[in-house]
Amino acid sequence: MTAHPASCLEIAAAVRSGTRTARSFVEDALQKAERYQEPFHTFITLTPELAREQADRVDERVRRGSQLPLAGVPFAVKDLIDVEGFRTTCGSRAFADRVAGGTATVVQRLLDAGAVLVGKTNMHECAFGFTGENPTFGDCPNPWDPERFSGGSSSGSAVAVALGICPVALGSDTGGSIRLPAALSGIVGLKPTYGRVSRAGVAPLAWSMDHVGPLVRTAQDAALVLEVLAGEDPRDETSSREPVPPYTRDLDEPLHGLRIGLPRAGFFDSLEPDVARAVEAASAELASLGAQCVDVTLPYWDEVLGAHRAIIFSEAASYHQPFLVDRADQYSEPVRLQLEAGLLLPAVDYLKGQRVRRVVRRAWAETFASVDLLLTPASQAVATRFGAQTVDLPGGPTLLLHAYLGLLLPLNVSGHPAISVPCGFSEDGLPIGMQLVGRPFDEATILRVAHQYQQATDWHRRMPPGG
Amino acid sequence: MPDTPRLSSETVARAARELVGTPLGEHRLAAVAALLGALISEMAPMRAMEIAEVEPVTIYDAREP
Repeated sequence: MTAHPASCLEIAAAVRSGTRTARSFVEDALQKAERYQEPFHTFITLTPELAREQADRVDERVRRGSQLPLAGVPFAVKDLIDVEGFRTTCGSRAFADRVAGGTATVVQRLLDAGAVLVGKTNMHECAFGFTGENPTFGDCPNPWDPERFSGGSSSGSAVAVALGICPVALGSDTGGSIRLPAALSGIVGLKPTYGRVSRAGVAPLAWSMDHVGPLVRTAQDAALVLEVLAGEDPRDETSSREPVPPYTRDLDEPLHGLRIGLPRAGFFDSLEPDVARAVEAASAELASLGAQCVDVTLPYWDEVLGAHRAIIFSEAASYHQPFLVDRADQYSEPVRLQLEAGLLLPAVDYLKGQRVRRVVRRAWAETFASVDLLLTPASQAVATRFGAQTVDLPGGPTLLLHAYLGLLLPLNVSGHPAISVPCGFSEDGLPIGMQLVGRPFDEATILRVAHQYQQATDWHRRMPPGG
Repeated sequence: MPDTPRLSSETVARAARELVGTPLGEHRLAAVAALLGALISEMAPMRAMEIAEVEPVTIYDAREP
């Protein structure tokens, strides 16, 4: 075992071969979770007793010959994902005592595959924000510099993986909430195609744009975990019947002939110089691996932001309206403000947003007719300090929303699969991420490109100070 | 980005009370009005977009019983 944390693949192989037990990996994860709770506030709830029970059960199944794909892999879930008998707080005082009556499909699928739940992670309150600040359960700082935010809303999940507590944690992504914290924390975050992974048992932010996916260190682990998570679920009527391919099978297929589109207008404007350099270098690396990088255009750039705002505010307000009636004062002020503003948005704007989505999907399908995937930065800037209102970019001071989510949220409107992959570090030693975007239900291609990029680089192998 | 429309606290108070049925506290009205103004500004390009007869994407599913 190296100092570098073991991957899902390595842990499962060790447990299946009898080299180590599931229980030993789980004890390590629990110990690290306790050790890092201050100052990172990574977990809202730890589940040590359940974890030990599950680990012993996995060891027993392995002894009986079960070939579990995730045997003994410790995992965590964002605390808006239900686990029966444990609270689902959504990171909010408003739901601090809500106990789940059932288990989310995604959790059950991981457990069935031999993974072991170690706890439920901190998050931006109600997933309605992206800094990882949380007045109830503590802020979730960046492992590379605790003065800076880790990104959100799946902040605890990202930090748990970045610190090496567990090799995989689940998050949700309605406007970049898996990909942003992954990028700012130096790990991999996958938002699958809308409908690819069940949302049953996952508290919504905006039903029509919510996606569930894994945060991991490697694209190979993302593929392994997606094979377990993906597929139709009768409990989620938006889950797709599209067949699930074996994502791990073709990861090493050569990239020769693949066309990668760079949508420079919009996605490459006004980047921090370190970010621009890192993403251009990544493009060159992929070209050296045999892919062909070409410039493309993604139309409706400005319109997509408005559609996202109309949909997320309206759907979030609709879900939370009953709770605003009886416990409004239990939400933090910024989240309550957003929900109340959402109550007042005209219905015609919501429907215009949903109509724009159809136009955007059709237009972007034309772009994807000439390329196999897109490459963009994951954010315009590296993680900034807590409390900042803007970041200084070449185009001038920029609101955090635009700098950190502007390149990610279009894919929540369109539903395309997208993965954030570490591609460098700033001069200050902060992680930089790139985003790969695939055709609908073609997670296999972006996972393959991400995997081969990681085989050729070592950004993902670097650990934060103390991690 | 178009100028942010200035919504008055009175407008927001009446909309919340009379249209939505969720009265907002006096001290919150200015903040909600400012955020709504910012949202409307961000939605301006979408509002201006001409999209003819396109129907909305919805999560309606014909399999629903």
